Amino acid sequence: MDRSTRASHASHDELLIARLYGGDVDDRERARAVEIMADCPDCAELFADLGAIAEATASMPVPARPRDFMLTEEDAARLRRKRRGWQVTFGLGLRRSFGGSLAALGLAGLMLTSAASLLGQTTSASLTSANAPERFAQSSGPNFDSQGAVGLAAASPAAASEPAPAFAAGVTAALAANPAAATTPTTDAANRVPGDVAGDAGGSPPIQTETAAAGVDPRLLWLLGFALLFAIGVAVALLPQRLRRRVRGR
Amino acid sequence: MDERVVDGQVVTEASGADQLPADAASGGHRPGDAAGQAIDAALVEEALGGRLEAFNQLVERHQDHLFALVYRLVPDRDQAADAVQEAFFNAYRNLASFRGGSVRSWLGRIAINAAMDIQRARRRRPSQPYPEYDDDSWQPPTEPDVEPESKALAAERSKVLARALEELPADQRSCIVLFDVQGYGYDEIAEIMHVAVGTVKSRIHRGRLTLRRALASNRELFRG
Repeated sequence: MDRSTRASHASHDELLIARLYGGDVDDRERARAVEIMADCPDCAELFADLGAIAEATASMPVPARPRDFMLTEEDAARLRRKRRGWQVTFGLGLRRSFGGSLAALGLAGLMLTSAASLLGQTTSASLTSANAPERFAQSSGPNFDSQGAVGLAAASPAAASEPAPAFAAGVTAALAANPAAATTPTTDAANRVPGDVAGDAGGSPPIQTETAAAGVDPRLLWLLGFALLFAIGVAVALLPQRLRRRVRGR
Repeated sequence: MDERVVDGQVVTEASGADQLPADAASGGHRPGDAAGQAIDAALVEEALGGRLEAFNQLVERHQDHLFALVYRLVPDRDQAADAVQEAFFNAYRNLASFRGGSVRSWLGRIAINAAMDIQRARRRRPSQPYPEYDDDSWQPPTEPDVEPESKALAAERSKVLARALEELPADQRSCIVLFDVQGYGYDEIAEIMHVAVGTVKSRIHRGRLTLRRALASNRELFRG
């Protein structure tokens, strides 16, 4: 083979010939590859070699399989046990993650609510806007204007049950316009809630009626809720599987 | 060779290229298999129902071709056998994850994964590849009426080819073995290897070219 042929072969695309052998060419590429092989003996040789190698690869002998690969009953039982073990492990991991998340959420809630209480902020107001007046009247008392607002709240449940902004703005105005209002107990039956036995009996001061109507401090409710969430999370995450089964009666 | 080619053989070869090898032109898919797949699917169903015999029938149907496949990737008979056994264990353990389609491809994928694990372990503890070929007492199976000279030639060819295959990058070797040896189609290989069909084709073409270069000094063994 002369030197010029060798030189031209070096510039030929061997991959194109390999793709031609693999049947991975379009019509244009096929025509081009066939043209190249017609002019380049090395490319034709490459094509023939690829065929010979593929054929030899396909006919390579394989030693006889040394054993049978069927599963015995013991194999199957062992594999089933393994699968159950894996499922239990995965389930346990899932439960721990879920329980941990619940506990973290509860703890975060507890901390936030406590911090809001300590700082005297009204963080929980956004959570309980409907109960804002009661909370304002009962919990924000110490921060409120010490010149009678507490007394007003105690003495005038009607005023205390107004919406918070109106109440806040109205305290001073009420005191200014009608000082008597600050000291006149409201005994209107309309302000009593059903079942307010003390109020109905008329033997207790109105403030007791109002406290009973307002119920528990919502912030306390939130605290209790978050504490419960935390406790459930911890229980789910840490309670042993066996104990859980016993609890469920299985 | 030059003369033969110049003498118009090239043109003939080129024309021959139009009639590509049946495997290549058809994407390498060998018959098999609508009926076979239906039987496999039924056996999987039964095995899922708890019948170990059904699973063992699957093993029986596929163990030979899986061993041949793995042996090409892990050229040590014992290690290949271990890989195949592990593949069947994995298949049994994960039978419920079979989502239909070709059981053969699914088992092939599991077997290749098992073979890859063995290969990684081999890289840490290198051993002699294809020890059978260096063992004079072992002779590759051949037709009974083959000339002794042809037998010797075939054995030598297999030996150098096995060593050349061992030198290929793992991804190219897997594709070549799946396509040329096992007769999987491009699509099936793509599914097994989790790559695009174009990538499979490219690996096969490049792998063949690499093999040819690796066999340059023994090329006469493969000619005529």
